[in-house]
Amino acid sequence: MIKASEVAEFYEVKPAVTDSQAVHPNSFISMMEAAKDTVAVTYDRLAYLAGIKAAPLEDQYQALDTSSLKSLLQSAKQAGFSAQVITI
Amino acid sequence: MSTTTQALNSKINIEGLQWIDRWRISNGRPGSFVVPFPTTRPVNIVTHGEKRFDYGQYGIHLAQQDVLTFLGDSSQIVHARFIDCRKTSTTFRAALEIEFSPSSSRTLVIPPGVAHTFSGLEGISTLNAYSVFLPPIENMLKGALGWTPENDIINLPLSTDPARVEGLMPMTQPASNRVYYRLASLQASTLSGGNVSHAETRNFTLDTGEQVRLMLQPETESLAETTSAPRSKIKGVRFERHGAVRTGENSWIIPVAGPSPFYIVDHGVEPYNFDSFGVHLGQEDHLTFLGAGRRNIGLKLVDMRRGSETLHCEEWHEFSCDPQMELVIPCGVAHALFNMESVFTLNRPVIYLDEPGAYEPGKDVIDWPLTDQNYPVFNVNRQPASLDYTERLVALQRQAMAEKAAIETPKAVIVTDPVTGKQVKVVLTRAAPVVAASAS
Repeated sequence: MIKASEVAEFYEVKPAVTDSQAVHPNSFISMMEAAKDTVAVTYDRLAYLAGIKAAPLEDQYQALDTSSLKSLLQSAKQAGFSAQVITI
Repeated sequence: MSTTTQALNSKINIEGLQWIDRWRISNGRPGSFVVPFPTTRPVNIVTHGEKRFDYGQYGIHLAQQDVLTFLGDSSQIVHARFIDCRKTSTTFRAALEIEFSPSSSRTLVIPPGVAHTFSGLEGISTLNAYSVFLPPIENMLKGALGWTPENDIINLPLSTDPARVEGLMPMTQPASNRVYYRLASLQASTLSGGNVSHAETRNFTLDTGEQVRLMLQPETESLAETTSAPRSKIKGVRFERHGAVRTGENSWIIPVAGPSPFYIVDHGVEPYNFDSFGVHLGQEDHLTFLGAGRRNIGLKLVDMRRGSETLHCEEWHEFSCDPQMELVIPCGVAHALFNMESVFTLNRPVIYLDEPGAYEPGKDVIDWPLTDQNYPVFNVNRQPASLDYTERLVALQRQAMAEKAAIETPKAVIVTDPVTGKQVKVVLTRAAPVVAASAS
């Protein structure tokens, strides 16, 4: 488990912390700690390659089946996308 | 600050959004410059194809400050629109539209939380030497990040009314080099399997009326599907593929990891052919060529490394500008490039040191006449520079740039000492008039 002092190393101006402070898991810390063989799972969304995604000329998502969440995920997969539910 | 940059900044009404001058030195010919980027951190090349290119929507980052240098035809006009979406900004909800032309002499800084979009980027490559920001450590430790590290992009339609935008709270604390090196490592691992497409977050309404937000990402493309590159018989010379992220039909992000500091050579628009070979003893060049895809670049190579199994092997190659291709030229392989006008070369070299530690990276170019086939033999450096060395090198470069020295890139020639009869290297550095960063 990562310590608070190790989290402080992520900052250019290192904040004062003590290792008695609890570190709650979050996606950024997971990303920083990910082992190479789990990279594809934890990092396949490519944070920090972030650029503006060009708006599609034709809305390719309109063809997806929205009758249920299951059918939406299935139709996304069939259309060649990986799909991850962010919020419902 | 140059008068052009001042004029561009005078129109800006959004706090923190600004143009800054890019320090650069003459490359020995009018209109040609070497533009150093003293950083060990990863950067992105963003390409937009050659057909009309508009993003068609705004993008906002919460943790990334874009630091953009636009490289392309300086007569082209780019249109940009911005909205300040930062809840606590003094210019919250201010909107701005500007026009500008590409130039290696200036860089646009877009703070996190400022929505931005560009149109008219076809034929232009953008170099993004981005900065990363984090939440205050109290929030980080609590797990209350306030942004999605896996996908730091929020899109808004172009029709968004600036007066109605929701306030956002971007990240504020600069990240350390440790974060950047980790990101570079993750990028390399992820892209080693092939090109990927940028994820997009979309809201869907199910037939039941339920709202769902999905992150959608097209599947990975194999690198084998990309165009073929030349092959060299000279040991160590290679044309490699950069992994890339597709962000649109014709747009790509190509990450270029460090940790060596890098530079761009802006070859200008006048005919540009090397008039001699260049040889480095401690610098393995990693070159990416940015420019119109139809341009045919010529490359002449001669292996001058002592002990090389391909010593004095000569080659001629022709290839096109392709930002997804990287040309690697090892130390001791002489090279000359032709038809380079309107081409920008990004070189993120790997540095090797000599045993005595006397190597000076800034003076490591030996010129050899193109017509003299009495080729010399060089001992090249073998010891890879450490991360600590490259970080110190970056600090020295920043110091030199702060002094605004009026210099050109140095040249070194090999001459025979009439007293000892030995060949010696003579470094020639000519003082030149101050190159105003506004030159374009």
